[in-house]
Amino acid sequence: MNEFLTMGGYGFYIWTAYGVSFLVLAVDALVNRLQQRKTLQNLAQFHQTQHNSTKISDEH
Amino acid sequence: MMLTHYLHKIASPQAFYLFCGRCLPWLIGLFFIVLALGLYGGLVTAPADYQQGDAFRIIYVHVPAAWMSLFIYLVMAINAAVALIWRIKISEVIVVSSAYIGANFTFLALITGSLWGKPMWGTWWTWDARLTSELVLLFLYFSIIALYNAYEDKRVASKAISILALLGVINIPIIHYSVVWWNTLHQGATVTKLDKPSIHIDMLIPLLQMAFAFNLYYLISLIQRARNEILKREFNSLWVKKLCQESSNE
Repeated sequence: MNEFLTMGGYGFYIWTAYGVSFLVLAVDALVNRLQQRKTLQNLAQFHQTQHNSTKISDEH
Repeated sequence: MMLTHYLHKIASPQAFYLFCGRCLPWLIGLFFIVLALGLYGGLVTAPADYQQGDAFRIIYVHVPAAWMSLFIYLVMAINAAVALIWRIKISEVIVVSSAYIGANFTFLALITGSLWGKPMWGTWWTWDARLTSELVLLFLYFSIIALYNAYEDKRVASKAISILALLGVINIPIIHYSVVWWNTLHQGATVTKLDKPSIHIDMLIPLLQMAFAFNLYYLISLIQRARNEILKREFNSLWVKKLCQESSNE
């Protein structure tokens, strides 16, 4: 197990390379998910206010 | 006739959004399976290199990332041409979404290359042809993203970045052939050449698995970004209104 982690003395380089790679992909995936949620929320709010304003203009 | 009818249907934003939404869970599942296979093969079963020892294992993230940086650029450029000629909305969305993902993979190719260069060449960075042209690619992706965000009107923005993306295609063969045309520190191709690959099959299989996993990741991220972009662009259409209502009721 220890041998696996040290990678013949190159452990630092190898694990940093793999770590950075998966960090970048994970952050990318997380950002996508958050943005999707934000877009849906923003649009729902926008449609709501639009709906309300047409109601008000109808009453006048 | 049937085919063009089908293509027009699938290229409609709503059909694209729904179809991709159904595909996503399967793609994500497949991604994790292929990734696990590639990681196990690359880090555990592949034998150490006779010259580089275990340090060569960086190949399993470095080379797939570098391939993706070029492949994504080509996909982006093809869609840029389609977007300019036929004004197909999905292609416009693919161009800008690909720019972000391509920038990520280019960044990874440079970072992992640096982490490989230090123990093998004795330096983190050198201004040789392969490394410099790859850095130019990163800046190309950055300028495409910046240009897109500089325009308020996203259809005008798409046109501008499509032109820029097409101009930048010139850099792609330069990157690929840089190790042939110039005398560089970077090694030549071992897989992507007409000859038989000069890499042992036990080392090659995990490399191809990792490349497939990265391709799947690109597809997943592209779909997620494209769906988000479609929602923003089609915000006033009836189906988006319904969708937003459903999601806020949940």
